[in-house]
Amino acid sequence: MTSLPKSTDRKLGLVIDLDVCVGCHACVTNCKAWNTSGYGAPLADESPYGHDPSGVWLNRIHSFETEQNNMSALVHFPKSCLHCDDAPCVTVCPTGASYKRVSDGIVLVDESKCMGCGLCAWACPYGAREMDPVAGVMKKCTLCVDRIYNENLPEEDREPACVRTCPTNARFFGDLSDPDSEVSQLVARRESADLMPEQETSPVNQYLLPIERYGTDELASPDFNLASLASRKSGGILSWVDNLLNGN
Amino acid sequence: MHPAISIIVFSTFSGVGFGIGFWLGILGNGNQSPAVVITGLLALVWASVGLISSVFHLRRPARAIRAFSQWRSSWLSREGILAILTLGCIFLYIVLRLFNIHGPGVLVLAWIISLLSLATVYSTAMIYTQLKAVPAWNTVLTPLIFIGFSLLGGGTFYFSFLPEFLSRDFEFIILILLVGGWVIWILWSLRRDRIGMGASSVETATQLGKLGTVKPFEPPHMGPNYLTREMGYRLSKSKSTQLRGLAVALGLIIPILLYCIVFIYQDSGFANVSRILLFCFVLSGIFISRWLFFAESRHTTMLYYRNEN
Repeated sequence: MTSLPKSTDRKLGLVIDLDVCVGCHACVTNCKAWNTSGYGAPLADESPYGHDPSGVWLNRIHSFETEQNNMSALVHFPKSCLHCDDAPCVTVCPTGASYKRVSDGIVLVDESKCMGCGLCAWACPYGAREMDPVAGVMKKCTLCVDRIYNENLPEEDREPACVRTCPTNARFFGDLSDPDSEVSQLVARRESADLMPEQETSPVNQYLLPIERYGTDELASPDFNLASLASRKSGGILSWVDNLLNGN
Repeated sequence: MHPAISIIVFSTFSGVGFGIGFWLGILGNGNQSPAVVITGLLALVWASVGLISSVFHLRRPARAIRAFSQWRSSWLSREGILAILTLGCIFLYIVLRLFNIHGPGVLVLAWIISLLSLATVYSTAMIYTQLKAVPAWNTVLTPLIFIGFSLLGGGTFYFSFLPEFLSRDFEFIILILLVGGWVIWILWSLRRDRIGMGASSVETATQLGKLGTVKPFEPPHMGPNYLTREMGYRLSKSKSTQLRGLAVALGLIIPILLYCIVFIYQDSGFANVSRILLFCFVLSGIFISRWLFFAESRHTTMLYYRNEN
């Protein structure tokens, strides 16, 4: 049934630290690699090479530029399914292919039931679902359901491929319904947020927001001169060498 | 949103078909059986063309039968079930009338056809109305447009091809539907221009607003993908204005002129040609408006991909 469960026993999900992500796309690549060979139909590419490459990805990294008081920042922003508690993609499904699991809260597609109408992709405000151009069924992040419970894998590999591969430790996986879990502790310690709360989807995945690291008051003052930070301080032996080499 | 021709044909044709069905239920009982049977058959044909067209939007059409299973939560599933029920009732009604069977049961069946036709068109509209991710669709005006244009398309069908079905009062109702339907559509279009992405913005999408103004800097990949092709359709302001004008001209202004001609040149050949042209123009206007319903509506996913202000 595509009705949503009233509650789930656990809320497995990701916590993504936007302060740490460097936008290297390792999680994107490992997600594609695992999911093209794991659960369900392979993640197809209409055109993997050439001048106009295109294919299905379950995890994509966007980059945003922010600007305040003449200070700009670049924030890399990985985005995949948020495994929402009130997932609008599930209830719209007419075939019963989309469902949210009671045991762990993962939102999945039963590919043997999907007729490829695409309505769930329209219903998702985040763009987390993509149609497979070859299999003709909807693909989405499974939270690596075929890794996290897989007893054939060494224990340290039983987490989503994106989390396992992240070289900067920007991604964390765990049960967000358990207040003692690592992910819940992170969320409690840092400022975190639901994406698009106004869409009332109650996402499980949480984003840790960048910490403000500049003294913005000082930078905002009209007397502040950014160039002074870069000007050469005279004096000392290094200054003497520097002057000598510059021919002064 | 990408204006897929299969979905536009689906909602326009099934809307007209169930509109004919609605008026058949209202007008059918007081009329002779051959015309009623033929009209019922035409309602079936129009609605079926629409429903068959919707199958072309599916990537795995062989599994379409499953779409009837999730009526508890899914408007698309409800639409499918109601459509089949309505078609079944119309078919039964045609058969009963073909054998000249009358009675209270047939009368009630006609009313059920009218109710089911309305419910089916309402469900079609709710497939789109329910999507909060497309703020332009998420309004009570959406079902009003679908129902209004369905009653207009169906009613005009009688006005053009079966005027003997209509009393003078009903011919006046056609005029009210004509003006009313297009007024709702114009209100919807004005709301669309104002609503943008609704309560969503790049700040709510990224939650980065505390760092200042937020702008998309780099998309995930160089080229387009399923999401940008499906939800990133963009119509220029000038083209939108032209097409809106064309829709109103074809669907409202010319039909009003034709309506006047019909009443000035009563029962002449000229009036009869005008009646038929009226249906063609109304239908083409509805078709363009339905194309715009998709092409002009924006999806919140695009907030992640590009500057949507």
